[in-house]
Amino acid sequence: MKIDMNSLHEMLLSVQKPARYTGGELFECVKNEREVDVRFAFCFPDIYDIAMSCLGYRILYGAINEHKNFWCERVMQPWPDFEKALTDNGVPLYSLESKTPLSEFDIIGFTLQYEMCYTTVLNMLRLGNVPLYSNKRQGLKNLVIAGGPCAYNPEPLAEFIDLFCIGEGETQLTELCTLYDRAVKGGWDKKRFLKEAMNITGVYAPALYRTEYNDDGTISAFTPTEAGVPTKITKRIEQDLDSMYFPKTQIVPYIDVVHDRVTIELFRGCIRGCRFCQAGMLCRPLRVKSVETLTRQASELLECTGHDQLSLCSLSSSDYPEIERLVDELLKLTEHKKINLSMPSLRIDNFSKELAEKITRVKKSTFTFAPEAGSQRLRDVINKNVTVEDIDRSCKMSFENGNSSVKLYFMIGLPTETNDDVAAIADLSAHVVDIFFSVDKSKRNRHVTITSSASIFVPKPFTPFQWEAQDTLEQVFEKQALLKEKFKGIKAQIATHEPYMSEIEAVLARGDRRLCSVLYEMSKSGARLEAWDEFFDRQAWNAAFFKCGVDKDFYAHRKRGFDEILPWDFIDAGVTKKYLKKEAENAYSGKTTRNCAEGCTGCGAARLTKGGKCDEGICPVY
Amino acid sequence: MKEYVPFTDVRAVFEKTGAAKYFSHLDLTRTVSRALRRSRLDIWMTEGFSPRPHLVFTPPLSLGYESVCEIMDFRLNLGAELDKDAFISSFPPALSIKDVYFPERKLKEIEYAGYTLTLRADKPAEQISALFSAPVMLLKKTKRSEQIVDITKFIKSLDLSENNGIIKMSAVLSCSGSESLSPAYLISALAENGITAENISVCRTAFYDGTMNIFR
Ligand code: SF4
Repeated sequence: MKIDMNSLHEMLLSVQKPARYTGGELFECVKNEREVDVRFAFCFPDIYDIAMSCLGYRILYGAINEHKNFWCERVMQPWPDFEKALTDNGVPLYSLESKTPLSEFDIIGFTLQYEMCYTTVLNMLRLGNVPLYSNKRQGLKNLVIAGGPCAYNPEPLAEFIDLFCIGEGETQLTELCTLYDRAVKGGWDKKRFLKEAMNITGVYAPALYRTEYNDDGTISAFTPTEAGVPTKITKRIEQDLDSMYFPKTQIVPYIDVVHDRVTIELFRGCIRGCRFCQAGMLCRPLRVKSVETLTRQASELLECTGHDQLSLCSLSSSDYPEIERLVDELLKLTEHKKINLSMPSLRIDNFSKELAEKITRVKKSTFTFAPEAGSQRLRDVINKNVTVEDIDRSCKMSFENGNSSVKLYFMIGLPTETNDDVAAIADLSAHVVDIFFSVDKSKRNRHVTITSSASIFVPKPFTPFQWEAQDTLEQVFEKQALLKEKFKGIKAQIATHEPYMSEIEAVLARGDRRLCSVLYEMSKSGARLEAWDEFFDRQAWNAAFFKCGVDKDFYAHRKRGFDEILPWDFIDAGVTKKYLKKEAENAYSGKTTRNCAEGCTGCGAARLTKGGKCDEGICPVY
Repeated sequence: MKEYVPFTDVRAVFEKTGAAKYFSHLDLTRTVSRALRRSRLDIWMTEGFSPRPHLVFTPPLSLGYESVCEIMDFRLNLGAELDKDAFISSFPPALSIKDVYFPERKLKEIEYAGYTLTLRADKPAEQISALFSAPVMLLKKTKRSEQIVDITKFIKSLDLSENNGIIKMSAVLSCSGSESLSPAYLISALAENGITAENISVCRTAFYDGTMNIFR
């Protein structure tokens, strides 16, 4: 039964930004429910403002709706004011397009963009009156699936989710919907459907596997419980980015959302191989979109949405092989229409003066750099191949371009870090201040604002640091105190962060199935929207760990041995474990690894491509 | 010195219904700016780092109110063609365009706005009529002051009818730069005088000039 919008009128008037809950935007997809076979609720476990800024969410919404007989609708976590109004009035969580309660959907799909959304996933199921545990959902109705970057370690959510979609979803999701349609029409039971679904590359049904543990709490075995179920799940990738589905329209929100703009994705994968970076490893192999495809897609979206901002998105945009030509082509689209072209992920070492001038031609923006570590020694350990000379050159260039605001991103708690490395963060920040004053007065602004931010390192699966212990809270506090001391008298600000959330993130990132009970407890206590500082409740986490007898230190602060079975070992994410191990060893000996453009180093991801190699151009010396 | 770019004024009449009831005036401005970009008309833009279309609207509606008569003025570069179809089709359904034309009068000439309020009340329509036939003293806020005034002096006309328990109030209220009254005051007048109203919906239906002709 659809929810009548008029019945929500008073509730909507009582909350902030009610347009988050009404739908009805330009280019939302509305179909006739009688003409579709599969109804898909695409759930984003955060609020509207975040969901509508997410490129992946836009792409997959479009990809499913391309098919006449599938209807994908949006469902998001409401802000607490509206959430309370819903529960007080007994109204279930509903979809924005047709106002259908969540529990009436065939497939309920979540995108897992960050670990701190896990409690929101459970909360949304609760708000939608959908049973949380997958074994409580007997039939095919309300099949709960999940994908996105965090699905690469699906285990902490294993008891709640029926199927994980690992890898890239453009084709995979529609294959799954097609199979679901067949299963419903053929009267299959859930088990048969789960087994068949596992024939789709990248699909994983946790109910068909069992984990056993050693006395010390480590995993002793992870095995299928059924014959014919694979022991290894290989992630799904799209082979050809030019012919891959990409939306021709995008929903235009009425309210201001975080990233209110057109975004195009230049390539997938990253040539760099920073050892702390999960995205860089997960997105491999390298695949590039052509300048022609990108220009066409940008032009289509700019025209149909009327947006005045175009953003280039990729892990390290300036590594795009033909970046200069691409920017020239895009400027042809944007300049005369006064559209702002922004490029968030520039690297310090390879953006040229010409490029910097081009992208500041339309509108000035703050420059952000991420040296990640203060000392060259530690930058070598993490394979962030950026030198002080690179920093000098690019800061000088940006100051001469009129920029007077620079943000520097660092991490503390990186493997092998010493107090000297921490102190070097202050030294490097002070050095950037000096660079500013060394620029001729007539060329630069009068004042400069330099903000350094030191976040806390969280070891992630599928990185060379997946075996590392995260710094304990005490270690973090000591390092933060040292930083504050060292920043005294420097004309730069330092921002540090409370370590509690990073600790939970570390637990969830490398957790196993025993965390399901903790997440369940958290959701009973009303946890949700925990990526928002104001809703993160560390006392509640401690209570939940205690109640479930789970030791968070075991997950966050324990160094793993290379031969330990890791909870995500059964997933083949492209990059091999052997390569990760080699990279970890290189890190300990401070040896850097060249980037893919200088020559392939055999990470293993290219196996997943049809031709067995990464895209030319990005990786010329294969 | 900024170069003077000549322009032509254009006026559009539009509805603000459905989802559009729930977004603010700021959101309306942004949504309309985007629609203008989509229309591909040769819009006159302000100068500066963030050039914008030049937009003037009739007075903002409160959140939750509908309208079938909102007006916006914008500018085309002089000599640019006004492709009405392209313009109309670039707006989302919740802001559907009813008319677009070259205006002859200034928005300042608007004196009154008409509203329809529908509601359920625990008292009959006659009692509400009676309430407003005598002075109704309420605290009225303007940008500059707060004063207790007789709000009926801002009510040009008020008609009530009742059908199946639903009361319909058709009101024409002052809506000029110097004097204006939001229909919210009619609702608070009910509450102040012991009349409980529920399921209230408000729709702006028309703008009038000083002689009560529909403003165009
Ligand atoms: S296979 Fe080689 S070129 Fe491709 S991502 Fe791995 S290391 Fe780089």
